[in-house]
Amino acid sequence: MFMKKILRVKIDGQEFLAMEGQSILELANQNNIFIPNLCHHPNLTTKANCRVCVVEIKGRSDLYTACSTLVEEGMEILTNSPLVKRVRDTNLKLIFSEHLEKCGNCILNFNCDLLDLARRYQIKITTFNDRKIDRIIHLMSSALEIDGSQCIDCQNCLEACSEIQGIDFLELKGSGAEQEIVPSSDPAKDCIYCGQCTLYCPSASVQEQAQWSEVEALLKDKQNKILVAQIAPASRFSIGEEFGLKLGENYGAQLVEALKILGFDYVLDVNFGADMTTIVEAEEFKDKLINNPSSLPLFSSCCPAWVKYLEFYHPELVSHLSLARSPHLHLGAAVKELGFKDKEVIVVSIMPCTAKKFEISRDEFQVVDYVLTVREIAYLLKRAQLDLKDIAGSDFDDLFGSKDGAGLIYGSSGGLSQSILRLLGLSLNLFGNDGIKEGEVQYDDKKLRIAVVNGIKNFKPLLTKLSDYDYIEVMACPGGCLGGGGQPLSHLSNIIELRQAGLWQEDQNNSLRVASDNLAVQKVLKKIDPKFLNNKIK
Amino acid sequence: MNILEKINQASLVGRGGASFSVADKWSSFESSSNNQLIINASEGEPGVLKDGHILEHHLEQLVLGAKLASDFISAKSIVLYLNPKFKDQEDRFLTAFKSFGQVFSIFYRPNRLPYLAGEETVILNLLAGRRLEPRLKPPFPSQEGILIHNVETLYDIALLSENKYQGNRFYTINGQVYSLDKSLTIGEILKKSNQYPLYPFFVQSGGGVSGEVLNSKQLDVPVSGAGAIIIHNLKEHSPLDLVRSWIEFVFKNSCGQCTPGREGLYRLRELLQSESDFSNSFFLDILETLQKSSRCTLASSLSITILSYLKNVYEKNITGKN
Repeated sequence: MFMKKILRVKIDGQEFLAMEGQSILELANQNNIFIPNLCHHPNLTTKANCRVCVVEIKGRSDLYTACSTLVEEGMEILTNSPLVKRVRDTNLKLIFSEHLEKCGNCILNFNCDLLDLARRYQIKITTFNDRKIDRIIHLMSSALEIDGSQCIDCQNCLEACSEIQGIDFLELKGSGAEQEIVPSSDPAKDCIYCGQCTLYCPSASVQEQAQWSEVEALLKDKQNKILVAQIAPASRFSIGEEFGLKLGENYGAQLVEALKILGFDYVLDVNFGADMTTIVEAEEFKDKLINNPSSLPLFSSCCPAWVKYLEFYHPELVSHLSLARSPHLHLGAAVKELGFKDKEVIVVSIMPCTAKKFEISRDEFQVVDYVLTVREIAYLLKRAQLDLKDIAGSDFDDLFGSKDGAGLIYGSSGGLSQSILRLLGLSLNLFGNDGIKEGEVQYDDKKLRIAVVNGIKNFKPLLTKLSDYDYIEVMACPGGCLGGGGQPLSHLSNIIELRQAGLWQEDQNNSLRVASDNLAVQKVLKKIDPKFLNNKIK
Repeated sequence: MNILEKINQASLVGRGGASFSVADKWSSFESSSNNQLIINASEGEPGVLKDGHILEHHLEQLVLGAKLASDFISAKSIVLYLNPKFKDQEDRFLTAFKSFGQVFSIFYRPNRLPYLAGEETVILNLLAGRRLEPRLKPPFPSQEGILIHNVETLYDIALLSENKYQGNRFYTINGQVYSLDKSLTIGEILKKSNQYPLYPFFVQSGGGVSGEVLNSKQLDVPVSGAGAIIIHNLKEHSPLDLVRSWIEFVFKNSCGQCTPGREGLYRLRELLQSESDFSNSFFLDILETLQKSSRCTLASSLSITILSYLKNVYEKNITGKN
């Protein structure tokens, strides 16, 4: 086996052992030495565009970008020499002057990379006039926006859209100082609203279309309305990150109490709605298996970015989509139909997702009033000076005879399939982070062939062999909702794995793991108007 | 003696501007399954005309040099990357390169960002149908089965193989091309070519944008870069207009990928529009940042041009500071 060499490298006079092939930035990060950077992310290729991570190497006259320069034996690296400081600070001033500050109501205001660097190096954020002030904001349905006046031209969003997702909807128009990231004008391309671009934007230029201010206004003046929040499975494993809490932990209870303090009347668990989805979808699957096997494979439909993808890019396959609604729509419908008589109810979903903002605007689904991303709700809490660290936590509210459900695992790629398999009394390992996970399992006299597509880019390879499968789960975001486009921004490459570990651990300890065992859900399903249970996608 | 030994013995360097050792480039070449020779005939810097001169007057030698280089790497394809201003000579080139057969093709440099489009990793991107912007190095093209040479370099290789190489290179002086000894100083070249000005002057050595600026007492050095000497009239030039014109050229050729090459150039240009001299402290900060942290040499060499002008001409002869 090829062994990598161990190298001796000095950073700021201190000696470290480094691995051949490692970049200077990786070595520094590993040893907790701070080197600023804006265009670098471990999930993306190294572009070395921002030039903020420059370091000096003894014996060489130019500066080197730590992200793209590999360590060499005996290298002596200076991260803070007078030359490094001058050049780094000038590049930061230049970058800051590209970005029109809208800090007063920016969702990233409390954890902004640009503001952090400005404070750290005491650089005025407005050295030059704002040259991009006249740029327009491009809207993608009601889900996302690109604000060119805030863009620092790092190109991370481009790569998320093309390389991570394979959608290639964002384009770089023009060159030099005139260049701008814009939505494609190609009629054969469309945004699927997954929001992966937003996870890598250091300047809040590509973002969800914010709805927090409408919700904040309602909280301040309820006008006799009942405000109900409902929390998605994946949101509770990431919200702690926004408050510097332990990674991968479930802070759902703290979030429930914080939302109550904020003014919500009820806070419900979307796990309950997920059980509704599982039961409806499993029934549909069983029915098709027996009565209409030629219509298979059945596609999952609770990921709105996937639904949008299929509708736009493969309309001929839309009939494969399950008619079951997504968990928060099920729960939202139950709340509005059965929860309160003669009172106006406002339902706000706390989602790890940007595409859900699009989903609730579709004509078919008018039950949830607002979708806030995890980032937005964290921002709302911080504006109200609420810190999850100081909150003990409380239980979800119970409107229907059960607080939660077996649907927690919907948050992770493979979780939805697992829920359906459990309901059918089957077991199959579809965990892990491969792009395509597949397996076979015997069900009565039939062999069920299941595939899980983890990240929308991985659907394409299945196109030529759809008939090999009976059921296909697709989640547009890598990792599923835990890696959703509405999640907190992270600099870590393994953040999804950390969130996953927490979620699956909790599932292990859960006493309710099969949706059909949730008797309260069964009761709601019997009571609710069938028109809320499935939908013909138009 | 084989051709590589001859190249090595003559210490041949590339004539595209970077003066990289040809022997090193060939020795470090790593074969791929699809080895390619690219002839860079995109010549786009103001004041440099020698590649056009070779295409017009020494095409046979260029073809011979290309043959030697493509044989050396067993090239599967040969691309003539051509400045579109030579399009009217296309038939001549196709005839001259006919012996290569189907593996030879002409690829025209785009008209967008023409100067940047001559940078070798940009050429690789364009040939691969990617964006017009430089790639990070390493890997170098020669590590990926691609040999890319400037027109004059291949011409020199041909001369070497015919034992006609005399250590000359081409110089472009105020628009005229001369072939003279490569070790001559700028002063000697100006005299030999009868171009030595009778008026107070300063020069730019290398190219019209990326060349170091020297005053008339500093001419005791050889010409660098792409071999151009641009003569400026000391009394009649406008310092602000000259520096502005350099910035404007590079600004218009910037891909905008890196911060200094995009924002740095934008702010430099903006500063000089409103200032009446070069004293704004940001001006020097940005020049240093361009020089030390640009992603490619397009922007960094602009700093060398401006800083050498300020030091060797502006401060010495105009402000009298030095």
